[in-house]
Amino acid sequence: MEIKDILIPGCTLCAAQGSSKKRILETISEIASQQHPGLELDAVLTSLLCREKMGSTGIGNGIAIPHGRLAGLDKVIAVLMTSDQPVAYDAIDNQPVDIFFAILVPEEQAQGHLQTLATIAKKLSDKDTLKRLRHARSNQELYEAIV
Amino acid sequence: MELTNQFIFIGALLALLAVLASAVTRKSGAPLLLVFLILGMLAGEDGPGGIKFNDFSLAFLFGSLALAIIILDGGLGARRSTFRVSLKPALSLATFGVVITAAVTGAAAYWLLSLPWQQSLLIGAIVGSTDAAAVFGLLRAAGVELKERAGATLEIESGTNDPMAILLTVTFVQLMVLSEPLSGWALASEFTQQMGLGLLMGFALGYLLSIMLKHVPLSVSLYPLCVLAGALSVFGITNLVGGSGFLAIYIVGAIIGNSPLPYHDDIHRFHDGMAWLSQIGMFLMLGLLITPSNLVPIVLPAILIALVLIFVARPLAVLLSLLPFQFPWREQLFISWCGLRGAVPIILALFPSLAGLEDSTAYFELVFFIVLVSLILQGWTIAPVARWLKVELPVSAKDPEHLTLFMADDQNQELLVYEVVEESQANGMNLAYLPLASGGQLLGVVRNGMLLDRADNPILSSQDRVLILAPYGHSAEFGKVFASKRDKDDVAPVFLGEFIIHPSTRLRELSSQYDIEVAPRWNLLSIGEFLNRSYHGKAVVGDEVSIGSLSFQVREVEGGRIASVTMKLQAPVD
Repeated sequence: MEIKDILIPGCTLCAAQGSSKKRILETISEIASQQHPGLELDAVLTSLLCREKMGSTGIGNGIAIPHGRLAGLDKVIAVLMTSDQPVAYDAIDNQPVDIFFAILVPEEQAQGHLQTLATIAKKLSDKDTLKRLRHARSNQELYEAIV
Repeated sequence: MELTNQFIFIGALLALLAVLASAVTRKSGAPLLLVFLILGMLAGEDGPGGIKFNDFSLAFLFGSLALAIIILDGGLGARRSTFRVSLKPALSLATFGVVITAAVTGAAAYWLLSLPWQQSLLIGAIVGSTDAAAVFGLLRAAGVELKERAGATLEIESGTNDPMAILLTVTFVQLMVLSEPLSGWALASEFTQQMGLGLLMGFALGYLLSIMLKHVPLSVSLYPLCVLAGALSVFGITNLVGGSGFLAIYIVGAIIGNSPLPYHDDIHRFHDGMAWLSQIGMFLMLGLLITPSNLVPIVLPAILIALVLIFVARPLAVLLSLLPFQFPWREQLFISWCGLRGAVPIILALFPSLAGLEDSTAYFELVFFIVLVSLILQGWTIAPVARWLKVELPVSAKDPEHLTLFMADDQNQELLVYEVVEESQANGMNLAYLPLASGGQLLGVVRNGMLLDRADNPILSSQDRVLILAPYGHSAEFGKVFASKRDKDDVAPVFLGEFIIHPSTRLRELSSQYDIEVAPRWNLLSIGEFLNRSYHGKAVVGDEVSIGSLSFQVREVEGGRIASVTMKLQAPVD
């Protein structure tokens, strides 16, 4: 799997406003539901929040990978977003988060979910990628930094 | 006058060489104690030093004193929080385990060397106890920190197993001197008296000493000295009344180490230094005492006994002693390999000659060589074995070095000073986002000797010093952010595939979120319960289980309960 298979340019947002974890997840859900007709904003948000209840998806170094399962989806959908200010996110290293790579996975898809997560985590472990994401000034630059 | 100065010069020069040797061994991984021993042998009668030293009673006096100080230091380092998982298994190893080790080794000496059985058992008893100082010195030098279960068990075991070995040795020596059979009853009563008085005196006097330290106003530099003198007094008086002084001084150390005292860090640091001095002094002295040319005829039997000790007696003792505690096999194997023999056996080997037994130097030489083999074989390999058996603590859980200043008042607050190091999370972090849990307060940041203005929300950079006021005993929570993330062997970039999971998350939820197979009967268990179940109710930080391709590791334990869990993804294959 490659990032461009799951992320479309319309699903990126650079320097989003938002001072709380909840607000960030809402923004992600809005983007996903706008770009993918047929997705309900509430369903997306519930799915992401449900996963956060099990423990924060902040993986450290200011990065979070919010994810959730969603019924009725036909493929994996991603949203990439950076925030203008780091947001408190209960991340594994207690650091606030400013890079969010969210993915929504079809409920029915039995295989590959973990592989997708690992691929994203690996991509975001790369220092150069992070630097370009943090320096991106537009949604397009953000998209180009990751694919 | 001339002679005095010569003694001082030679003694100090040897100590200086020993200290400097530590810098060399740090790189080569050679066990430091071995270096001290060899230095002593080189300075001795067969080496270029040519110093003749054959005074067994003087050696015994210094040896006992040094041992007492080393054991005190071990006690000071024992943390009460580790008793939950480790106290019982450690005590089982320290008593039952020593008996098995002594018996099996004794039997080997009987069969292999065809010695009379009393002498064989005496040899077994002499080499029965392990040496914590040796093990921990080696691990620290290699930068390995052990998971709590194995680490604390070894620590408490070697702090408490010397009395047992001493008792067995004394008993067998008596048996041979008296040459009439000791009754089982006399043995049992001797044992009870040694242990009972050791425990009683240790607890009572240790408690008194800790109260005294809290209430007597002393100048700063005298606190550590007061602890040392007080503890050695307890050691002496306990021995005089017929108890085990080694057990008593360990308990005194543990009590003082666990009470919030003014300047507890100074006390620790001072005793760390004293323990090193004792190690150096003792091993140099033992190296001097031995006559290497006499060792030649006993090389083969000594190697045979050492091999039986290392590969049969110790593993068997560990297996049987830990049977009720169901330790993971990797940790059992590691504890077996950590049966390092140190100074105690060599000191105990002086007993027979002090008691006036015949052929007693033969014991000393035999035991000396057994310890040598153990130091070389196990000492050299202990750090790699720890890594290989995966009993190391995860990097994130190590507490970085920091300064503490304890404020002696009712609030039990302490001032923590951390240095920001290059590879830590704190480096490059905005001061406003510094995570401060458990009531910690940020006092300020010092850069180049100046206090930074916090209103500017400065970005932390390496070599800054961060001052935090925190409740006593919470330093580990603040430490994480300052810990160096660099792994010596790992130059590849870190793979950020770890998520926090609440321990209360049910396996069913994990299974539906990540499509991992969970047996239906486990479905309703939480991941915390599952981890605890896998480690027999006593999971420690670093314990891990795999479910499908995910692995779950205990991240934090608070008050005996799993407080958080790390979920690890497998790195993707390219």
